[in-house]
Amino acid sequence: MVSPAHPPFVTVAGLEKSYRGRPRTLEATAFAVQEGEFVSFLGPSGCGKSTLLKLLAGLSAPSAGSIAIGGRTPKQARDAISFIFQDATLLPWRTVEANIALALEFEGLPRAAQGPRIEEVLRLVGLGDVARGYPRQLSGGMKMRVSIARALVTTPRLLLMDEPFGALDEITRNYLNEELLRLKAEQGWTALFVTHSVQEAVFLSDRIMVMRANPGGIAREIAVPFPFPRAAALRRDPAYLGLVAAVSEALVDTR
Amino acid sequence: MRANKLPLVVAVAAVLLWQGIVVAFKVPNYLVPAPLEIARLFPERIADLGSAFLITGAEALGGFLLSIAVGLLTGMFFSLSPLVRRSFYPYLVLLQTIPIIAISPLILLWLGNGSLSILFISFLISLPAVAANATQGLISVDLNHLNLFRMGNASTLMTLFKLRLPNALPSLFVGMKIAAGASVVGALVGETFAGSSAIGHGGLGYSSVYALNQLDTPYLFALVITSSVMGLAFYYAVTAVERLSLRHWHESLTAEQPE
Repeated sequence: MVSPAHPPFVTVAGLEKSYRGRPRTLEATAFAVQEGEFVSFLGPSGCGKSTLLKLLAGLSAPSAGSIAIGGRTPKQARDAISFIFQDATLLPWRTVEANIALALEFEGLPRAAQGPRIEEVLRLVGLGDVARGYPRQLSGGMKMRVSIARALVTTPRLLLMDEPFGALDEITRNYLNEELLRLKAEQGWTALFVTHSVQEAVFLSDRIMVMRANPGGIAREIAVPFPFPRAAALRRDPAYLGLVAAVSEALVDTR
Repeated sequence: MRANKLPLVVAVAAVLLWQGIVVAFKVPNYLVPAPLEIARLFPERIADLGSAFLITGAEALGGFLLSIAVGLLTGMFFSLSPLVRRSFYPYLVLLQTIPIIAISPLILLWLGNGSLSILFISFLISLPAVAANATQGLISVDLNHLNLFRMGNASTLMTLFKLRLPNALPSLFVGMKIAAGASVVGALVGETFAGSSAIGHGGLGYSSVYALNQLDTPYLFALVITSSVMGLAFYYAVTAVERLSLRHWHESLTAEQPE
């Protein structure tokens, strides 16, 4: 799927971030991501993985180094990027469909053209029957699905996700992991995914960047060989369990 | 007996006790009138009370609405940047600490005797609560919500109208509830300074001064009750609007629990 001749979609070189009066949060970070890849950043808190995602989103400026997304800076590339936050970050005064509409309002899409797009994405994430409900009526997992729908309605090329399922129970998390892979197969976006769950990283990713803390950075890169589509049954596969153990070990080595 | 009826029982008992004491000890009515005597005044002098109610009500409503408009604009101004807020916020606090009664004569001097001055005093008393709470609501925005709007390249104006203002509503209503009571107090106080008998018989505050001079204590009591009714009416009007605007989403008003 990924040909080496193809120029990478995301290129990060010599990236550093430090805040005044604190040890460097992120140090000498470099990697490249091909279009359509799913790459996870896995590590303990304080390893700079959320900082890295903020830099990629252009929400914070690097102290040194460069980021190119499709040949543009993160800020220039924002029209092609969607960000999924740690919590669902829905506006409580808006209905589910109005929350999704917000992403289209940012793009200045006329109201008349919003309806079909919202309907389509609601069907895609299986939320059609709660379209007119308010966020407070939804469970944590459903709120996160609304958040995913809001991210996907603008048909992004790059999805940045900052521990989106961290607050959910394991059953819901597993289910949403499968859903996310199904959506990616349908839409073909590139994903950069921050998590502290080894199982989640192995299940979702093409590659895992294992990160270290103090100073933060990428310690190791581990490829995940399992072919897509991946089903729930993969979680019982000895090869999957073996890789989970190996990644966990790599994580311990970084301490 | 349901618990929410108990306050009513207490009220009825208190009024009966009051009536009993006044009758038994032959308390003169210019000192403390009996409840029945006060009650009789309402049908007898309904025209006087009604016109006073309308005059004061209009002044208080004007001051109240003006305080919401100016308070909200002040809050928006303060929400522009921390620098603006730090530079001007102390003056809002200062306004809050100035006893408005002390500057009332100045307002009379500048705006003249009558309803305009009274409206302005009512406005000044109501303003700090609205402005402070509006500011608090407009700046207390969730960081991720702000990042979401930044990722969408939203303009300052769009962020104000689609994020900051709706986010400020619950806090704004807190300020409006304080202002609802304060605006009535402001109008009453203003009338004791600037009240005029030129229009009808003057408002409730002016009538109180007049009744006091006449030693018409029963009417004074009737005016106190009428003023309280106005304060309650203002308060419940704000509560009703609050329920309408927040019923779908705010925790304080949502009875249903999520699954």
